[in-house]
Amino acid sequence: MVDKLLFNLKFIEILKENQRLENSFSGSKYKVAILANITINQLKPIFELILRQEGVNAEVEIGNYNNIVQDSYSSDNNDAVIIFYDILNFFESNIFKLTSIDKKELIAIENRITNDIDIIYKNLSNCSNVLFNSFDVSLIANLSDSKSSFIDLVDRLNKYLIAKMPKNCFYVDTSFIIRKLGTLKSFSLSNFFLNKSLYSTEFLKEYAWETYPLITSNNGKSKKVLILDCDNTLWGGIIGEDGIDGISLGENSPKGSVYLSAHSLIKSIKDDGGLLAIVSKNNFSDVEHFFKNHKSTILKSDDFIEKQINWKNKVQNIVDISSKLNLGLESFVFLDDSMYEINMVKESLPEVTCFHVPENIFDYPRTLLEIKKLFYSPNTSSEDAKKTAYYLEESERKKSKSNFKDISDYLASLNLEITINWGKEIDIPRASQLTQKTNQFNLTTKRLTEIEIETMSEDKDYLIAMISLKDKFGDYGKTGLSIINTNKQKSVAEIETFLLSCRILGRNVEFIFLDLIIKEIKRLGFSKVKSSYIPSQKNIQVADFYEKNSFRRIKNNTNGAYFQLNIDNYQNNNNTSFIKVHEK
Amino acid sequence: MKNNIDVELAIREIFKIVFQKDDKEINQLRYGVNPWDSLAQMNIVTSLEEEFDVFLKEDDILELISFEMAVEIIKELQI
Repeated sequence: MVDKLLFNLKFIEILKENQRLENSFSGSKYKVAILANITINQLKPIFELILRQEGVNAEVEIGNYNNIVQDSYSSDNNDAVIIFYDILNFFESNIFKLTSIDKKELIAIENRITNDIDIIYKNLSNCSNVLFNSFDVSLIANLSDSKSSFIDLVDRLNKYLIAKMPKNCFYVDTSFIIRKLGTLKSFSLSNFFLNKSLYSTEFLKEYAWETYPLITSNNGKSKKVLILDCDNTLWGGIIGEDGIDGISLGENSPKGSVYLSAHSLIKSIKDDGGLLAIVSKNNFSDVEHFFKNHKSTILKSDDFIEKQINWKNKVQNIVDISSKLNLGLESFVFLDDSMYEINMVKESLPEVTCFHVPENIFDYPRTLLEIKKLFYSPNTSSEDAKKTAYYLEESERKKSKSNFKDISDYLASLNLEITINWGKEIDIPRASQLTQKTNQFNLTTKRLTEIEIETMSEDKDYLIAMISLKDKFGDYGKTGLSIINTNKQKSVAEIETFLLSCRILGRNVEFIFLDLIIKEIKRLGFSKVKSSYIPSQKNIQVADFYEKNSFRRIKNNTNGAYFQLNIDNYQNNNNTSFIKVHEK
Repeated sequence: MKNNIDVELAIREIFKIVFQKDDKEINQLRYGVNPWDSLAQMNIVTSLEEEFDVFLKEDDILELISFEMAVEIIKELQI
């Protein structure tokens, strides 16, 4: 778990800890390239440490000094690229020259930089994740410069950066970090004049801290569930003692306003696709009474997918929620005002990221902004807003399931209907999101960007299948994806991606999905299909999926297992008769 | 403030981590000779400044060309 303790570590301690963690990983690396026109090498160990603490086997490489454009020609094979294009180093050695040059020169600079931006965007179009820092001149500007041409230039460059930004790029507003730290703490002029290293280590730590979720989100590491306490977390005070009229929430007091802001921020996490749950030692009726009757509450009872409001151990309640939602504990964030509870959860469930409601309550919105960042997803889809509804429907299914002794009777009672959508008109943002977020039932864990999927969907050598599922309780949405290489010259089709959201597991949908894919591959004229299982920390449950479905294992190596199916030998031995199929 | 032995031990530890070398090799290292380049120098300077809560001026940094000199510079700055 990434810990803000990074900020308490000296640089040498960061180097030491990073070296220690490097040896704890094996397997393929997540490659991050930093291209810069300044010296930025101290960011390497800081960024590597923060990513490694988050379980990403990261390797950060720094490009050649002041060679961004040239380096961009050979950098799109990285998993992520970060661009530090600092206008302050445009005139090497004299960062203040910008304050005294004429308009004609400024136009020449603008043309040169916009041209560079175009080339960089084009060269990195195949890289799945590019972070491009904003242009900033706060180090050299002062109040009297506010009407100066170079300030306008920077403004125009940032607008250009955003206007031309492709889908695989993210604009990082470094001025946000500089404002947070202050100019004096953000820059180091001595480092600049000695080494062309503009930023202080404080800035680099803050930069890594602010931007690492943009990297990890592309690695299936976004948080998914925010678990909240109630007393002194959703409102100020103790509802069991103070009563609904005695707690603080609303505009009538500074403290109440803070909690109202907290409600808005928590709601925004849900609106972005995060799931909310309550784990609170309270009387259930008191909390429900609050949601029904408090005039100022923004959050409502049905915003929460699970409410474990009881007097049981919070650790057990969190484990129960993880099991009910079929989501790993590493995707959970726990927020509580009690250090006792936080330490208990940290001790027992180290995978859970814990936050403490700050002692100074006016810092609470800042804490929630930190939490919100962890839920960042590079691509939101229309499915996100419906997520809580899906899980609430699932809760109804579970209640219904308990009435059946035989699982097949239960599955038959659901009236499951699958719709398979082939090719051109698939929902690309959702398809990309499924590859980014699905960990358990994901045979190869290939993370794909919208651009990559869009390119494949236009490529005649690729077949893309996306499934939606519904039953009598509701619509599960678009929850399965497969990408098959159907290049006729290869004579053997290859399933490159096969995944199902954990939301629909346990309904035999995977078997009918595979069945439909095999039939389509056969219809396209292939007699053989290749596939693979690439192990990750999460997908052990599907290690034998292909072998159980008529595929023959042909090779094993350190990367994974490889299979082949002679389509004439294919048999679907699983009961899928209760699933109605629609094809589009 | 650290005594002379502690200063030497702390600097030795910094060098071991920055260069990933063992004790015996630390005294052989020289600025400008692989692996001690300007980037390693920056890491050494940052680490020394943080460890001893001192500020190394340009002259100090130019003189910082060996482990022994690092010890000497820090001892002087600590007086």
